[in-house]
Amino acid sequence: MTISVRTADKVTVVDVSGEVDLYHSPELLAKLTELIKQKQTSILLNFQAVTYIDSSGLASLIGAFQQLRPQGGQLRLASLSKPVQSVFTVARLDKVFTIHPTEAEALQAWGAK
Amino acid sequence: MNTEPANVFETRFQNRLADLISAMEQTVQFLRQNGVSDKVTYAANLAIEELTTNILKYGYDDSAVHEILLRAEILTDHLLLIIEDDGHEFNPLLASEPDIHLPLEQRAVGGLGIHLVRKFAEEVRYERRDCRNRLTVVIRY
Repeated sequence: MTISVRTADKVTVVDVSGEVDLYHSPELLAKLTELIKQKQTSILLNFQAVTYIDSSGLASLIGAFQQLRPQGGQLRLASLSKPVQSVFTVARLDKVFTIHPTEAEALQAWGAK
Repeated sequence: MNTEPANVFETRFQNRLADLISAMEQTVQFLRQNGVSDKVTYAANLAIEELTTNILKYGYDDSAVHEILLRAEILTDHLLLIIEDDGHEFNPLLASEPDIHLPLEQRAVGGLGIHLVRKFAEEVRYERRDCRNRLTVVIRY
């Protein structure tokens, strides 16, 4: 798994690639926690290159959301592959996370460029 | 010499995360080489990881090295996975289902693993046999 962070207008975009599994999920949660501590309150996870996610990956996202929410922040996702989307659907997380088909649509919905 | 038929992969690995990851990688490679679809391979990987992680976390009362058996059989209309360990009696299927209808603020951070396995597989069975835990997973093509 690799993680890189960039900004698009007011949104912090986190590009994740590879497998978000038991081995790598703590690294993702640590990065999101670091961003939340830096008061980044609009975080978009671009999952275009994520090939696999398991329950530990979902747990990391729920944990990050629960840290961000009291600060009035938002954690959204974009560009999920079909198998990754199916994991969100089965866990019913597609109903509670805002998931956009593409990064461009996510940024547009957020009012960023 | 490997005497397994071509549609069977079996490996034994130690109860360490690095060994589990290696076993998963070998299984995925076997499934791909034998033309199993990406969808079924994903479900198999998920089932192996979620079930075996539970064994590593909760299955043993000591810090000794234990051996876990993982077997994958490519059958006519389904993939069969068998995971066996020599830990104490532990049936992960008895774990209560997470409430997936709660808002995110109230969701438990963990507990989704078995739920995912149940949903991605057609059948998951547990048996205690000869002082060993045996999990059988059926994933329909």
